[in-house]
Amino acid sequence: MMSMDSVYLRVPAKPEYMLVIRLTTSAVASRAGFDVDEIEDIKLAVSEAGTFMMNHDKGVEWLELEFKVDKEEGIWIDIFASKAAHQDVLFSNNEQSELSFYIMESLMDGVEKAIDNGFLRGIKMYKKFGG
Amino acid sequence: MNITHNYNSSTNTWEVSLSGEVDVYNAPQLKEVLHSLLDQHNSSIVIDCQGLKYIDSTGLGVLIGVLKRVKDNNGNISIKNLKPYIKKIFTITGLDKIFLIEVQE
Repeated sequence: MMSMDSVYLRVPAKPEYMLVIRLTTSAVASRAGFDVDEIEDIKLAVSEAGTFMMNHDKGVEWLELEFKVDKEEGIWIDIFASKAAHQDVLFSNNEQSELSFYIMESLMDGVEKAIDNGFLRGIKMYKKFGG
Repeated sequence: MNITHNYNSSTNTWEVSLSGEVDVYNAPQLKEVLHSLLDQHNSSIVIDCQGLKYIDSTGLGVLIGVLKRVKDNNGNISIKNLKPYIKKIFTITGLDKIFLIEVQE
């Protein structure tokens, strides 16, 4: 794997900042070289992850995203929240989040929860060119 | 997000135009507007999405909730002029089977 370009974004965990996440995601995915349809897929998947992490526990103050771009292979995106909740007591354990995860998994090549000692810290996902 | 609406009394249908982007920020507003329409006339709804550029799972959740209420009164929700990349979201979630979907040419 070649060296990656990294882009970081931290936004307040408030609904009005989801637009900022989407705009940034579109710009980074475009720079990475994805086509228009793939950019739409990545944008929606990241937005779903952001909404999920924003709502997964009370008191989440900010979301932090890291985009890693490899122009030969694709894009890797981590979405982390300022606060981790135990995965058994997530506020977002409901039908809405099931739908959200289904969308993420359908649009990306890989999606996984980053769990540390049972606590959900974030969501990691990637999409490869032509994937 | 922008929502306009008109009740067509000859077809007993709400005609709604939904444009812009629907996400966790404004989905509550969409929910409030659609339910207020049903409070006036619990009828079928036709949603024109010609200007809809983005919708996420929170927006879809609102539409599903409204559909349940409409179906309880034997109505339905038709969604027309969806852009292909938005239609894709309805397809992968299986929602194209519970809403009446018309794709934008």
